[in-house]
Amino acid sequence: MTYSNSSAQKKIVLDSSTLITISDNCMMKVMKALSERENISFIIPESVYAESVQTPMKIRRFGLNAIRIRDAVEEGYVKIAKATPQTRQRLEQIEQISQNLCTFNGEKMILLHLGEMETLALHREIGADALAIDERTTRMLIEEPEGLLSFLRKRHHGKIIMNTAQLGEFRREYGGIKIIRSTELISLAYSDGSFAEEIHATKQALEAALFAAKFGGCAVSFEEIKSYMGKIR
Amino acid sequence: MNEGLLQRLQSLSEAFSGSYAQNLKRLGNDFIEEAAETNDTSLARLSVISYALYKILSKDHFVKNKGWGAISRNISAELLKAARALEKNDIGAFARSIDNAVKSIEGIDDELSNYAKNIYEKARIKQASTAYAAGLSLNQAAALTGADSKEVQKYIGFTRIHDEQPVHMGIEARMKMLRGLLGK
Repeated sequence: MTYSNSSAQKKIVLDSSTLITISDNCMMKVMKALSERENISFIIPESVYAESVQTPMKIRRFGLNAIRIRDAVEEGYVKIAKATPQTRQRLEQIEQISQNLCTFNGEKMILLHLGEMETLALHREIGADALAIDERTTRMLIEEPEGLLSFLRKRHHGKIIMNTAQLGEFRREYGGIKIIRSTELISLAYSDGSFAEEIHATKQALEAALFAAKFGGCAVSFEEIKSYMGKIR
Repeated sequence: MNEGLLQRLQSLSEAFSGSYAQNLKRLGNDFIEEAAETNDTSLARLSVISYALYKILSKDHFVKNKGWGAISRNISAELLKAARALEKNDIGAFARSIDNAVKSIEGIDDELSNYAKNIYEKARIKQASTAYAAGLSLNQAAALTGADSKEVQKYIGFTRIHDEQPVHMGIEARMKMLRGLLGK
């Protein structure tokens, strides 16, 4: 599958956490507008599609959300990337790193799950421009592993060690990934007019949408939202 | 024999037999922290059971219900059987007894309650959120307790977990990065 129709098109890989925040808050049409206005291709791994559409479609309370995501795929503004031998190879490599990255009192402490690793493998394999992920641990591991280590040491009463060789390898492969969350997609939609696809683009609506993302589980703090809203005219 | 797991199961069993709700809550929290550190799904299961039993014992309408005595005896018996199985290193029998204890807890929804639904499922989500707070990724935390990751994500949204860490890169800085990427 080709993900880019032109060299200017930007590729953003969506983790399931971001896809769920966006779809739960009825913002899929906003994503469509964003895709068209900003020439963005939103891409998800097959496993995220299965987790967000195929499985929940069988459960009544999750069905509506699953349909929203399925429609987005059918309309083409969210694309599914099929796993290739190369992505599988990358996945094995991340799995290996992840399993040996951190120890607690000498025992392996496994921080990431296959789902997050698949998103990372896909991002690298297709040379995506950014990764949208709402959960905290993967983001911290990519952007500030020292901060994550310090947090783990504070939280756990034992000896937490990060394997520097494995961390170095992880950083070489994934350290430069640009990360955004659903809050940035919402903010971008507000500023470029895509927001109007769902709701009037008022400051009050933006703030409400950012808080809806936070309460939907996006790893953003009250302080961040307050600070950002203070700068919006 | 997994002595660590056996000791924890015995603590859980004693706390339940004595109806010590707060002890069950504390054990549930201790177990999930440890399960997150060691990726131990059996211990995570004990944590979910502890927390579910704490919730049940905290509610008068459960424990004062005439059906509660029989259910409670069932759960105690299965926990004891699970401990005996662990002593004999019979992992299959241990897992079956734990499954039966879980079924009894889940059965409470049908037998006793118009008052609460899915006690065990809610306990899974709650304990997964604690594993996330302890540093596991969202999917890893959900997988540890067998909870649905969407439900865990929503639960986390209503906690203060994401307000407890310093901001590394706020919305404004990420927006600047995103605009740069889009050539704006």
